[in-house]
Amino acid sequence: MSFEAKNLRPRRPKLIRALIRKDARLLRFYLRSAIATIIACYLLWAGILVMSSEYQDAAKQSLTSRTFFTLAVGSIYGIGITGFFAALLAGSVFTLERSDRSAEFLACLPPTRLQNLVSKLTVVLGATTAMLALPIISSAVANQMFPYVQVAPGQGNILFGTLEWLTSVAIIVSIIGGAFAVSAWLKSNGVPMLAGLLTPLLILSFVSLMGWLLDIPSEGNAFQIRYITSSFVLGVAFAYMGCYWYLTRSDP
Amino acid sequence: MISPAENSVIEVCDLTKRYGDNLACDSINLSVRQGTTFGLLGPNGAGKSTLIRMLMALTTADSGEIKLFGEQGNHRSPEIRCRIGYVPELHFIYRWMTIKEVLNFVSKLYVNWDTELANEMLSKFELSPKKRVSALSKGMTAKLGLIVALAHNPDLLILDEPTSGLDPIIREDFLESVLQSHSCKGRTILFSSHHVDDVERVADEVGILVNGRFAVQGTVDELRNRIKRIRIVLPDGKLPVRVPSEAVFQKLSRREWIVTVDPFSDALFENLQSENDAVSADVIELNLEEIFKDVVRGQKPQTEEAKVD
Repeated sequence: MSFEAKNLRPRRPKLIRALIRKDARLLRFYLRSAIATIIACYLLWAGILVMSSEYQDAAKQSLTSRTFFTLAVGSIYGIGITGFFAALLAGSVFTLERSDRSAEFLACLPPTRLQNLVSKLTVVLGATTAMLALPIISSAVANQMFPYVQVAPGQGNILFGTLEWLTSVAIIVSIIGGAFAVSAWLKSNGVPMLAGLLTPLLILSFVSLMGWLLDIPSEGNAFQIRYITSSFVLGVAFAYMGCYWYLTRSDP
Repeated sequence: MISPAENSVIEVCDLTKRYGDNLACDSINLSVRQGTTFGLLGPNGAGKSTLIRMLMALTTADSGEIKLFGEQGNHRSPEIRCRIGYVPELHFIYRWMTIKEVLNFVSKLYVNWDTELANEMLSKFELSPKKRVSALSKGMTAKLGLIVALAHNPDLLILDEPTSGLDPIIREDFLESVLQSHSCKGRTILFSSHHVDDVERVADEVGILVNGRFAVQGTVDELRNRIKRIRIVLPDGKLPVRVPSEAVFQKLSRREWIVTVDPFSDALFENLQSENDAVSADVIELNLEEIFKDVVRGQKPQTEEAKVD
């Protein structure tokens, strides 16, 4: 066979940038909704603080106190919202293109499956990290403010410590892993999203069952540490499975 | 079957694909030489789209081999995909993008993207860059698909029923662009359609696919010289003595027996005439559409009326 050898391999950085832009635009509705929901969550909580008599008494309506409670409580809701949108993003990143068959159009263009996967992972992980950054930062600021505010007894525990943060991140990793794995198979995003949201509960049941079966002691933080480790390991394993299925499936 | 040439851009060997019990492609062999336009004809469900989807690696074959530009396998490397322009029957271009965004996105994926050519085609097709793909008609989407397929100057253009469902004016514009693209030096085109006149206009070589197999293959002139219709008027109360092995289709209507043969020869014509005591006989030259119809009808179970005992 005598065909002219041409260097037609597309320049990788330019190609990956184009794919990331495309995937970010593909998920733009969810990304915008996530940002709007997190901001709304903080604003709503600030509003509740102004209206609520309980917090009016506790925080004595000083600006510092109101800001502290807004940031501290907002960060807890922010994590929940991040988990929900992480499931939505990871569950939609493959399925949106498959449901409208634009995956077929993409499959005929030069990018490889691996390049598409890198782009999709970058968008999902990047967006989730950005969403998670706001609660982490606001919680850190609230931590710094804690010595200067007056709180009712017991209200100090609204602040997250390292272990709580690790648990939150582990839950989000398992949500992404579960949604990603199921998304690599299906054409609609409903089931992958649900699978993502159920993954932390399944892992919790699994860790509890194993602890009970093997009679593993759960003193102190032992159970929480086991749960964090399992969530990280299984979340990454599920995500790896999703990547493997996406790379090896015969149709786009 | 066309014998595989040294410079075959597409080489397909014993390609088979099943969907459950349905045999979509049955041991297909195909060789398309560099610089030629191959017309893939066939009725609906003949296996044309399945064959093309396997060429594009959108579907995997059950058995057989595909070689594109000498590269073998069920996957196409990015280098090979850069050399192919593909226009499907149904376009799945991102519906939420505008035309400008589609072209901007695709241009970043090809090294040899020709922005000037893309803009030229945009204005020729009167497509507004600001329009969303979701707002385009079927014809406009087909035109956008052709721009995407042609603006990176592919060495191989694969068109899978691209004019299906388009109005005659858009179809004309589309074919005009394909013909212009053919003038590009060395470009190979695989054009699949059930519009015989479209294929006849653009194709150098033609293959008629029926029930997942090539019933005939050859250049348009070759087929016209090879496949001819013989019309024999039989004596009263007589039936044809035998059906020649060369017959691809036959029809008996009262005393008139029409048999399409491949290959035609003068000897065969004289034999049929003499052994049937023909009252009169003549040879009818066929155009590609008539060849297509006879070949397709000949592959289908014939009606009682058309059967000859």
